[in-house]
Amino acid sequence: MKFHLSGLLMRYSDYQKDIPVEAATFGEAVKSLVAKFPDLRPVLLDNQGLVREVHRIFLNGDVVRRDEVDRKLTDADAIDIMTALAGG
Amino acid sequence: MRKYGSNVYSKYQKILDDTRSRFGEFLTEKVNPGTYERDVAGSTFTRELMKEAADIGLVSYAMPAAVGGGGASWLEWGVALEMIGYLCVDSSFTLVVAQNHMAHQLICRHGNPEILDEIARPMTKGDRLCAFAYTDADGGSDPFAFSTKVRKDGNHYVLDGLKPIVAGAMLADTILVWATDENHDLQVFAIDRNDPNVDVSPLDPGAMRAGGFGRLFMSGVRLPAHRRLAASDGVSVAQEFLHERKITLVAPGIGRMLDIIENTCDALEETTRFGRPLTELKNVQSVLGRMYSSYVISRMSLYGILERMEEGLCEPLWDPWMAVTKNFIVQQAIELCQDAIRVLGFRVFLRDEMQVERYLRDFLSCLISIGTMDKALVDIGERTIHHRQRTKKLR
Repeated sequence: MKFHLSGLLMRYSDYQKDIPVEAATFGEAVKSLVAKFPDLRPVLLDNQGLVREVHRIFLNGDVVRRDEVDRKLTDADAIDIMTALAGG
Repeated sequence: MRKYGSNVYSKYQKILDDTRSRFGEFLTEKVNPGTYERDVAGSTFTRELMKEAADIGLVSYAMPAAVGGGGASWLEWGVALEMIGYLCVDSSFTLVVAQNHMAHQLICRHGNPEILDEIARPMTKGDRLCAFAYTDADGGSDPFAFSTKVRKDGNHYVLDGLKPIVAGAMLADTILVWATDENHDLQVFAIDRNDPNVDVSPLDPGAMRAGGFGRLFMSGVRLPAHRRLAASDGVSVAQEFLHERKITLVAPGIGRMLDIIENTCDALEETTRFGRPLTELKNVQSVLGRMYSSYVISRMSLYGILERMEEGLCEPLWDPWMAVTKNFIVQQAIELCQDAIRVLGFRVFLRDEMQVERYLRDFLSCLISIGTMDKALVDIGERTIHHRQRTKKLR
């Protein structure tokens, strides 16, 4: 499967937007992603290892809850991670 | 007083009328005088004035009843702010009131009982005012690039850093601060301006000049544990807070837009050319029509988002429509001011007269940190693409 990162998260993936990982579940995929880019870990994950609430996860366009770590994935799946950011 | 115009959304007329009845005299007799002078000098409101605003229930209007506030809902507060913005010619005042309310919201949501007694309850009486220091010297609005740091020291927390612009800082007793810990996690603290090693200095802003803007510098500020409002994920705390704040920021602007239209009409009616008032000119009527349309559409947008908030349909962290609505209204307000300038002629350059240029400056200041609006639009665009990809397959 593949991760699509956007915005500020790309700062922690050497500005790679599309990142392929091998994983059978969503939880494993996230672990693989932060293993590949260790600087991404504190930004993406909270101190319990779950994706922070401020990030929104989309599996093939559908929203996935951050605690759905056992959600099964296939090779063709794509996960988008977007970050809520408000200023002004 | 003039009757508040437009019968759109008359179901909220009672709130509008009640707000005028409760706060109208205070706003027009106590706040409005001195607006021009405050703008020129860059001076802010006195504590006595803010206390009076609290005594009549304006400051605590929407603060939770559980801590002594008025308990109004988001919708009621938004509508009340619209009328307050109509009556109050000093946008800095509504800014200070709205920001103070938002900081109170955050304290009530995340504060421990000690903080509620120490800060939240006195705030409802106007005995304490609060500001929030989010924008960072290095990170700006990017929470993952903040350089303001916190470290634990026994049972205390020590803060170091600079928050370069804090609305209401010169008035505030308490300032909420976002700081990054050693795990790159964002925590939230309540500092007191009298805490040792806290330095608050005034700024000279180009707009909202009575808003009490200041710079906050912390050098080894040592806080007891109970002053920590959020131990982790301060980013989510901020996003929820900043989204809601957008609406309280623009709600008074709607009322201000109508007051600008009315004053523009009055001035044009009183100005004659060849014995006829300018309001008879078609180009003037066109501009006024455009201005009024901007106001009505903006008002409908505000009420739409207020109703969504009331019905619990706005996702606290993710709802893009609060940001889009705020941006839309601000852009409409800026164009409305430009239209007023277009038809009013030389008098808009006389700052102590029409004051339209001050309103324009104040509305322009609402575009600060608009880069995150661009980000929100990118997100909306990507979600639109995802949605279309899914629905196309279903056909």
